[in-house]
Amino acid sequence: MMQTEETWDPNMLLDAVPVGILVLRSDMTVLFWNNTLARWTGISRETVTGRQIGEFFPDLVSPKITMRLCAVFEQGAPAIFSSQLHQYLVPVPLGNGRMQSQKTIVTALPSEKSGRYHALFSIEDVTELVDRIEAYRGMRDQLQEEMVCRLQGEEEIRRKNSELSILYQITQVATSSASVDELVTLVLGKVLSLLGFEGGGVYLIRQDQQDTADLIASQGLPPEFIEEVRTITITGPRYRQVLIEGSPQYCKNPRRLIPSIQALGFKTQASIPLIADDRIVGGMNIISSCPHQFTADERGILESIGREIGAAVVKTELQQQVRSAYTRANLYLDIIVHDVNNAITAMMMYATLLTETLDGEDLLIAERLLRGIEKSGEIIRNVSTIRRIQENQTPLQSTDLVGVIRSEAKHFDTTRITCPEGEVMVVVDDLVAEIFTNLIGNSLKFGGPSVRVQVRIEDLGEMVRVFVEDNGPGIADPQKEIVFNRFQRGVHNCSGKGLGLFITRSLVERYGGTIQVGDRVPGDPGQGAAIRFTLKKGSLAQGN
Amino acid sequence: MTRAPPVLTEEKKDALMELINIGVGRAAGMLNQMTSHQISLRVPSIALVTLDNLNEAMDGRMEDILAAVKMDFAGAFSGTAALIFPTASAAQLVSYLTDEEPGTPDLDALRAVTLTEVGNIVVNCVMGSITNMLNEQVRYSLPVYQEGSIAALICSDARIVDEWMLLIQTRFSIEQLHIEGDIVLIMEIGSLDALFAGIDRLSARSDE
Repeated sequence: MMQTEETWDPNMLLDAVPVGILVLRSDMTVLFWNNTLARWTGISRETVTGRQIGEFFPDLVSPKITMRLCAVFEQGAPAIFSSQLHQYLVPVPLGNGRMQSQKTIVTALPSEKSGRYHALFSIEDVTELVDRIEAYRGMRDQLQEEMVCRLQGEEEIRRKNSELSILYQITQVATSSASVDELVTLVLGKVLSLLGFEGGGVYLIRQDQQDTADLIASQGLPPEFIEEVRTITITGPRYRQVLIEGSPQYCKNPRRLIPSIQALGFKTQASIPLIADDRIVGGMNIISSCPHQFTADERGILESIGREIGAAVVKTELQQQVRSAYTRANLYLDIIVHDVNNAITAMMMYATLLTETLDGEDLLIAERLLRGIEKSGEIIRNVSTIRRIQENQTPLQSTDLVGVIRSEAKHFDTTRITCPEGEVMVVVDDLVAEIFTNLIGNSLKFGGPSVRVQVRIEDLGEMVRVFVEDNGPGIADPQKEIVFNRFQRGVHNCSGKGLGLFITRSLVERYGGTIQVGDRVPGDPGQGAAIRFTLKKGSLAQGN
Repeated sequence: MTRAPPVLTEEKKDALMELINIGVGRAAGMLNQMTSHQISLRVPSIALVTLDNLNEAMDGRMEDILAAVKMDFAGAFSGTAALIFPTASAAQLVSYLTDEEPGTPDLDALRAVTLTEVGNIVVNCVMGSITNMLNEQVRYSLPVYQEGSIAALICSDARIVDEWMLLIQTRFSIEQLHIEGDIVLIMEIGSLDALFAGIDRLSARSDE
C-alpha cells in the first residue's frame, strides 16, 4: 500500500483556518486559542490558555452568553450567536474605530475525562458581509422610497385626472345646453352618476325676487317631496349658509338631515352653492342612502363643480337674453323694413306722378323728391341684404354668372353696358346680383350721362376673375384703400349711405373670393375705375 | 401506508405540554435577556399529525412560503425539530429583536442567521426540557435555515412520508405584534413510542 497520507499537528491545522477557534471548559477555562484569535486580539495562546476567559473578555461570562452555553455544556446542543443580536463575542478592533462583526457557532466537544462537553467556538469575521448587506439595504430602501414617491405621484396624477375628467364632463354638459333648465338637469344627472349618489336637486335664486329660489331640476326624489320643496325662502336657517353665505354644507350624520329627507331613508347630504363671479346663483343638493365621509378631494371637486355650474348658468342666462334681444330686434327690423317699403312705394308712386304733371321749378323739386325716395329705398334694400349675408342661411350653389349679369343690366340703360357672352358657372347664392346692382349702379351714378360700363370675365382655372370697368371719373388713389369700408362714401357724395361697396366685398368674401379696386387704365385714375374680384368656379352638374 | 397512530392519551398530552411549556418558557426568558424585549411564548396546542393532514393542522398554510430553522437529533429518539414561521412573521420578529425599522420583509443573509439563532434557542430549550426531564441523551446537528413551502421543508425527507409527527403550535406574544410560529417535531420510526414511553416512566416516578 502506498504511503500517501500525511499527518499534521491538529493545532497547526486549527491555526491555519481563517476562523477564530476557542475551546472552553464548562468552568469557562480556556483550553485552546488559535492563532487567528491571537492575531485578531493581540493576546497570545500562551497568555490565555488555562486562564478564565472572563479575565480577558468579561462579556463572554455574562448571563446572556452563559445561559446559552449551558445547553452546549450540558446537552451537547449547538448554539448560534448571530452578528445582529451580538455584534461579536470576542471583541476585535478594526483600527478605524469600528469593531469586527462576528457570527459564532458553538458546538459541543465531548470531554473524554469528564464525560461532559466542552464548548468549541468557531468565530467567523462577517464584517464585510454586514457592510455589503447594509449597503444593499440602503440602496433597496432608497429604491423603495423612490418607488413609493413615484406611486404616490402616479396616484396623485390619477386622482387629478379623474377630477379633471369629471370637471371636463360637467363642462361639456354645461356648454352644450341650450337652456338653463336643460343645463341643470343634465349636470345634476352627471354629478349623481359620477359620484354614485342616488338623488338630488338644483335650486336657482330668482332674479326678480332675491329671497326666493326655485327647484329647477331634481332626480331620485318622490313627487310629493318635490312639491313640498319646489319653492323655498333662502333666508331661512336651513338654506342661509349655502344660498346666502355661499358656504357648502356636508352632512354625514343622518340625524342632522332635515326630517323629510331622513324619512326618505337618506343618510348623507352635500349642499353646494352655485357661484359665478362671487354671485350666488343657486345651490345643488346631492343625497345618498349610504353613509359617506366626504374627503377633502371630493369636497374640492364638488365645490369646483358648483362654480362650473354657476358660471354656466349665468352664461346660459346671458345667451338666452341675447337670443331674446336679437329676436326682438329682428322683429322690429322686419316691421320697419316692411312698413317703410310700403311707405316708399307709395311715395315713389306719388313723386313719379308729380314729375309727370309738374314743370319748371316745381318739376325740379319733384325730381329731387323722387331721388331722395329712391335713396331711401336703396338704404332699406342694403340693410336687408346685409341681414341676409350675416344670417348666412342661403346655400351656395353653381349659378350661371353671365345670366345674372345680363339680367341685372336690364335694370339700367343697357345701351351703356357691355356684358359678357356665353355661360360661366360660379358658386354663389341668389344675393350675387347685388354685386352687379351696386357696381354697375355706382359706375352709372358717378360717371355722368356719357359713361360706359364693361363687364368681362377671365378664366383662372379653379376661379374666375370678374372685371367691372367704366370710363367715368375713376377713384383717386387715397380713396381706393377705403371704398369698401362700411359707411364710406365716394368723393362724389352721390351714393346711398356708403353700404354698397361694403355689401359687395362682404358677398365676394362669403363666396370665397377677393376684391380689389383699381384704374381702368393702370396708373391713370382719371380714365375710369376698374373693380376686379374673383369667384370660385362651379359646374353645370351642380347648378340649378 | 401510514402506520397506526401512537396513542397520545390526555395524560401523555398534558405531560408533554408541560415539558414543552417549560422549554418555550426558558426560550422566552433567554430571548428577553438577550434582547431586553418583553417576549412571551406559549403553546396553545399540540397534535399528532401525518403529512396528509399537516396542511389542515397548519390552517391551510401548506403552500405558503415559510421560513424554518431545522435541527436534526439522534440518540434515544431521532428525528428533526423545526421552528417554522410565515416569512412575514419571521421578518417581523427579527426586525423587532434587532430594533430595525419594520416593514422590510425580505430575509437577507444577516436576518436569516438571526432567525437561526432564535430557532436554535427555542429548539435547544424544548429539546433540552424533554431530554432533561426524561433523562435521555441526544446528539444534535447544526441548525439550518431554509425557506419554502411546508411541503418542501418537511416532505423533502423521504423517511417521514409515512410518519406521525408532533405539531406544536407556538405563539410569540410581543407587545402589539402577533407573531405565529410552529414547532414541528418529526420523529423517526419508534422514536415517538420511545418519547411516550419516557413520559410514562416520568409520570410513574412522579406518582410514586
